[in-house]
Amino acid sequence: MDSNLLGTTLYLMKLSIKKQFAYPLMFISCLFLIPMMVASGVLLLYALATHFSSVSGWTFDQLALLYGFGYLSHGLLMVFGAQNIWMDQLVIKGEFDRMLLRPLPVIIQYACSNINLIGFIDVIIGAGILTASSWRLKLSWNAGLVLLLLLTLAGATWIRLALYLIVCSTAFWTKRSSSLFWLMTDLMERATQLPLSIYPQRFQLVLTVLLPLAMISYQPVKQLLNQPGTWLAGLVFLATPVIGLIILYLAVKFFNFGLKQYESAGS
Amino acid sequence: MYQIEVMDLVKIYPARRRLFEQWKQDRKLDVATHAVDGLSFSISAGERVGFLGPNGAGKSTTIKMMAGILQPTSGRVTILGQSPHQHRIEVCKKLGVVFGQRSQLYWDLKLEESFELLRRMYGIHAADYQRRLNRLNDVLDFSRFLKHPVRNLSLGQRIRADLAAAMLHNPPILLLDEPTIGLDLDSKKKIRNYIKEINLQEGTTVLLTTHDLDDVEWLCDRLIIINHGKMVADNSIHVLTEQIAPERYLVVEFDTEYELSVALEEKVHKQEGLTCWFKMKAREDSISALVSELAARFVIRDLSIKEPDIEDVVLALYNRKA
Repeated sequence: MDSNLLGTTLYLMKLSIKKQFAYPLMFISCLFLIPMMVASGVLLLYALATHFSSVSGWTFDQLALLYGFGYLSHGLLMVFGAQNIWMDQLVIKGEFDRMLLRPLPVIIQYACSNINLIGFIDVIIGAGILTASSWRLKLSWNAGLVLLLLLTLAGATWIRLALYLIVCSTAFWTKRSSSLFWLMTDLMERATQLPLSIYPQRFQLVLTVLLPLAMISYQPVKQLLNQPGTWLAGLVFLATPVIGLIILYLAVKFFNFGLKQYESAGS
Repeated sequence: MYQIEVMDLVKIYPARRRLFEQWKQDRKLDVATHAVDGLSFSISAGERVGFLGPNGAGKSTTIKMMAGILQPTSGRVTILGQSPHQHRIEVCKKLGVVFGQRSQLYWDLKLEESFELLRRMYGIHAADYQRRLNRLNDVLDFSRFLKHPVRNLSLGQRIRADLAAAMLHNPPILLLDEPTIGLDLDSKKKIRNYIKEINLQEGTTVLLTTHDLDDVEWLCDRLIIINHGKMVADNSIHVLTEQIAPERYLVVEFDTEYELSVALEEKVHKQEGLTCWFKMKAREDSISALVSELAARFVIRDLSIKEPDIEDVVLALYNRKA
């Protein structure tokens, strides 16, 4: 990436963040609503764990660790991927005209068009739950493991971003994709907030190989709980960013392919 | 060498059939739309071309294909030797595009932020940028609303801002789609003057669509007229006028009742009271000969010459079969 491209990209992000300060009430209301939503999620886990003594062998603290780690990448998705919600509106109203007229890759302009500060609330909450549960579980940390986990987190975010980009890019053909966004969100919640071992083997396989949702939180957290040190555990951690990069690459290809079908609008 | 080349350009919007609609009897809606249907033309550096046609003729679709926004169904566009579809980024650095109907600026950003963003995107040096911005401001006069978000600008302000945004990187080619739509007389005049000035001083090539024939008269040397996505005419205004409306009229108001000779009678286009329109072939007939002949015989109260009207030309061409 040349320095001009990088500088312009950062400036785009800055403007996109600045834009939100025009609507401060939205931010404040989210500051109240999001913690309540998360609290209800965590309390549900607590109810599950205490009611059934464990959820397919997972204790409440372990479930919370999974939830916290999954919620972190959800937060990052909300920071960098919220524009996918309105992809179909951009297509119908011809908003891609503007991006296609400018000498910067459209995917970069699109990706930076809505850096969503509200997502950072999710990130902070996720980090809090992760820290608290790891403390209660007395997990031992070292610099290498933290680095590995950060890489995994990046990978988990890429997987999420890529899947949303693919699903929402169908708007270039269908002109409607926002319901797919919410469907994807439901699926992701179910596959990242609970241990996949509660599902049948075949379904687990689908979620690991076909739609690699298992790589977002379940597989890495499972390794974390096993207190890794083995090569295999390290490989599982690294699998997430590798798969993330591959699928993100494919998603951008698909987006660019969709862009060729783009029909602009009116006049 | 041509700056812009358009070869056999076609854009077909496929028929969109709704789910379950295939059982309906009415199949008329199933026909695909041929928005642009085999268009070819080329434009050299420094030309000012009016790209005209009635509503729905395919003008905007063509411009969008030239700007790399729309993918042609077939045929090709070359801008300075490059395809806007294969080399989008290189080509759009050389284009300035304005859509009068829809702003290409950033709705929620202050105008100055939009400009700064464009400066960075096009990699314009800060000193060059400031100089160009000042010059643009002299004509388009936007410094008063630089701090306003684009969504708060009036139409006239917005179009001036859009024009400035399209010219910040000093592109050799301007594609202007209805740049004067909805503007008041003063703003129109300013914008026309500026486009002409930049064309004369910097040799910028200008292609513009408009429904305002004053724009055409002021700005264009050449007209490309399309209808139903097909070429209707492509020539200099001069030649088209000769072809379509070669007559001009000498309008004479006599002082008293008059009786014309047979030779003069042949030249009469129409008569209304004491006023008489003589039809003149634009180049061949001598007006002064006719005037002196009339003046020798009659008392003339008033004289004027009506030049061929661009409106007649364009109207005739719009109605001509593509």
